[in-house]
Amino acid sequence: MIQLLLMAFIGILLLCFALFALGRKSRTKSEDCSDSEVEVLRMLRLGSLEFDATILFSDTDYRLLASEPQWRSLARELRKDRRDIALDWLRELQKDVFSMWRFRSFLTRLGVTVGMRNDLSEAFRSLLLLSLLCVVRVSVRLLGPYAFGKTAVTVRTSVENLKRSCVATLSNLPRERWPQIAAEWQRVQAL
Amino acid sequence: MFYIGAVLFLFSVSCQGLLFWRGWRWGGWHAYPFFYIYLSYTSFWTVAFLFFPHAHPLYPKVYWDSELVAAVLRFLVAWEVFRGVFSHGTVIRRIAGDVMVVVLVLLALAFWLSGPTPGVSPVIDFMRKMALTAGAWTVLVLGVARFYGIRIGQNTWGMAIGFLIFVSSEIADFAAFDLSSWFIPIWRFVHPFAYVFMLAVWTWLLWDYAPNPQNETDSSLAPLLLSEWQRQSAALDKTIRKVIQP
Repeated sequence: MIQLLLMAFIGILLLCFALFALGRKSRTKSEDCSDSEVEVLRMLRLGSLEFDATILFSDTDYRLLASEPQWRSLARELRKDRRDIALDWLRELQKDVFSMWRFRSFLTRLGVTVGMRNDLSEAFRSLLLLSLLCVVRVSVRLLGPYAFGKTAVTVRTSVENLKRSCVATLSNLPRERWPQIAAEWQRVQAL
Repeated sequence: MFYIGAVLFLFSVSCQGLLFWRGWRWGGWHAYPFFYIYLSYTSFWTVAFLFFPHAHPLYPKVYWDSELVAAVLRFLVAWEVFRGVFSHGTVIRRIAGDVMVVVLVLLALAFWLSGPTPGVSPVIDFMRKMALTAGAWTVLVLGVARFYGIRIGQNTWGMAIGFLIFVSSEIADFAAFDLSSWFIPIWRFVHPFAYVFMLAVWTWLLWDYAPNPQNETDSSLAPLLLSEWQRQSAALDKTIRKVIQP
């Protein structure tokens, strides 16, 4: 009897969990638009967005090491390494913005456009972001990564927004045409 | 009553048909072979029972035998979820596999120690326990994936959630049947409805090929970061040695 009650309880519990998980999935589906994003990520190879740079720009461990006199040299070493990695990441971010810009113009060339005004504003946004990234890279090289944590997060968010806008533009096309576009894009890149 | 049954039947057949059609279009048979074996088996019996006269003396035996085989074949879906979430040859897959084996052995031990539930059909008891094992397996896979922050693709997620809806309803259904006949009118609808709902979820989330993003993403930054990390780690090691032995 107890076993049966337990089984019935577990069954109902699992059922509630599954329905809850399903509800959550359908609610967040529009937010993360995983399908389209994965497709665009695959097409554009946006490696920089797969990396969470928050820790890279955090100075917690540096401060900890620098507080002990015997570990100061280690702290300096850490700071230098962090700076190099941050610069590499920012360079990748810059490449990705440029790649998205090219992808957008490629889509416009194929006739996928959401209006002249939108295209211009996106081009301006990309240009602004590329300039900002140049400034941040120079600043990180000169002053180190720790002062630019918030800026890095802001820049990353802007790049993500740019990617979303690319996804939205691509969504104007029927999904059946996506593989063809991906192949065409690869061909353009190889030129 | 008859109309509800007919609607459920037609809906489930449509979902199965759509699943096969979409699977054929985007190569689901190659991507998820174990899942399609189970689906083929259940689809076969859905059609076969349509032509099998219910009054035939062999009907109950064939029905329950087919159900028993289906209960075993459900592990193919659970296995498909497992291999969809954890890529072959990864450390996490090994860890998840170990966790899975331990939990399943413990579950089997618990079933063996508790013995068969007295006064109930051994077939129902067996099916209930098989459903619980398959459900526990799926929940564990989802739990381990969540723990390690593995993103699950839409297809695998759909497979897991649809499957969980069905097996959980089976556990509750068969337990309720044996508990009291009072529950029979309720669960008589819930369980077939859960089956159709599972098919609908599968059709929805397996409409297009959307595998685990982790397997598909090609990170160009990963080797770069790895080499930097190795350099940093070597420098750290050198400095720690210097600090310890100045």
